[in-house]
Amino acid sequence: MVIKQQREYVSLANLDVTTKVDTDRSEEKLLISRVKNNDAAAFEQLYRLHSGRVFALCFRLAGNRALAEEFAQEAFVRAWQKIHSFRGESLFSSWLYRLTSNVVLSELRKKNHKLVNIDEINFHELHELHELQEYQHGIDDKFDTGKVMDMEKAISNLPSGARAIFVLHDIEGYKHIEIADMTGLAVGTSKTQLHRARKLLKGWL
Amino acid sequence: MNDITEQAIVRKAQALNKSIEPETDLWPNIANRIKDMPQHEAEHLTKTWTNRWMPMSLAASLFVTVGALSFASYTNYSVNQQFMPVAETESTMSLIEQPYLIARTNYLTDLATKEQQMSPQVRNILKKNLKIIDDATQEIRNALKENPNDPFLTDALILTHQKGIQLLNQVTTQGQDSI
Repeated sequence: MVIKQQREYVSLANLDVTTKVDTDRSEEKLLISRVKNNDAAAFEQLYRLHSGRVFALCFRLAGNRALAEEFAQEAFVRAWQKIHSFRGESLFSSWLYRLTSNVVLSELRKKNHKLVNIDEINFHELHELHELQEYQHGIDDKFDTGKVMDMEKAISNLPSGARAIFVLHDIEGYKHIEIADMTGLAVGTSKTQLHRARKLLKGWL
Repeated sequence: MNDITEQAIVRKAQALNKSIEPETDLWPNIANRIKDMPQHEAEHLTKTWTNRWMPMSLAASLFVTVGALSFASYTNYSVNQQFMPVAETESTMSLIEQPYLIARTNYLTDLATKEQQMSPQVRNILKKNLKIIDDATQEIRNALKENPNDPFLTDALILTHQKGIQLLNQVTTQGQDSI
């Protein structure tokens, strides 16, 4: 009897969650159609819904708050401009986060070209090992040697290219083929960078 | 040295908070920027794989146009640009281009074997598109040499390289069922 009641409770709870998600989505759909009609107030509501996630993505990809704020703003401005290209085939959130990733990667390239060159040049294993060791020493000198580093801090200390791949793959859940499309890197390079990022993090955490 | 595993790293990464609030409200600036800003019309390209190559052709052609526009932009604005030594320009370009060239070489090595399995039609389309991208790259590269500080040209070069990689990615992975 108790089990039956529990099951009913669980299924009712699930129903509540499903209904809430459906309501949220239909409300969001409505907001999007209003935004497509140049309604800035509706866009502000979308901004309020997604700003935290967009900012987190920008922050982790850029490695610092000031840049992240600049990139998050840019991402929302682009979303406003490109809202008509969102046709509802995927979740709005997926579309927005993908657009944000593209904006950040492109802005980082424009700023210093480092994303694509620092980590791309030495792919031969010996060079890579040497580079990893040197980087490790640099980090050890710079940040309290011997102390276990906080995960966010460790991510922000990764070299920009490896950081981008780690954030997109391990945090945001993109596949290597998708990352390759976004970054312009080959799939193999994306895998190498991810391996490199995890290896560095392993040493720091 | 600690003994944390790669899996533990992945689990830690996935457990991170997906949302971080910015310290200041970004909305006022965004609102200010989008005020009177036009929205772009939707693109209406269909995505069936019977015409999967069409978007690539269009994209490649677009880059030729971008190249031409970039060149036009250069001729219009070059008078106001500062002179940058050739060596510096070359080194900036090589920084931008190096990853693409490495990736391209890797792909082309793979492609040599894959090409034998492709239908002549797909092979021709692939070659045609690669040539369009190469021509566009060359045109932008030339314009960049003359006008190295133009951010539009730098962007166009990066985008063209991205398109090239995207095309090669598509051929070596997703393109298998069309072969």
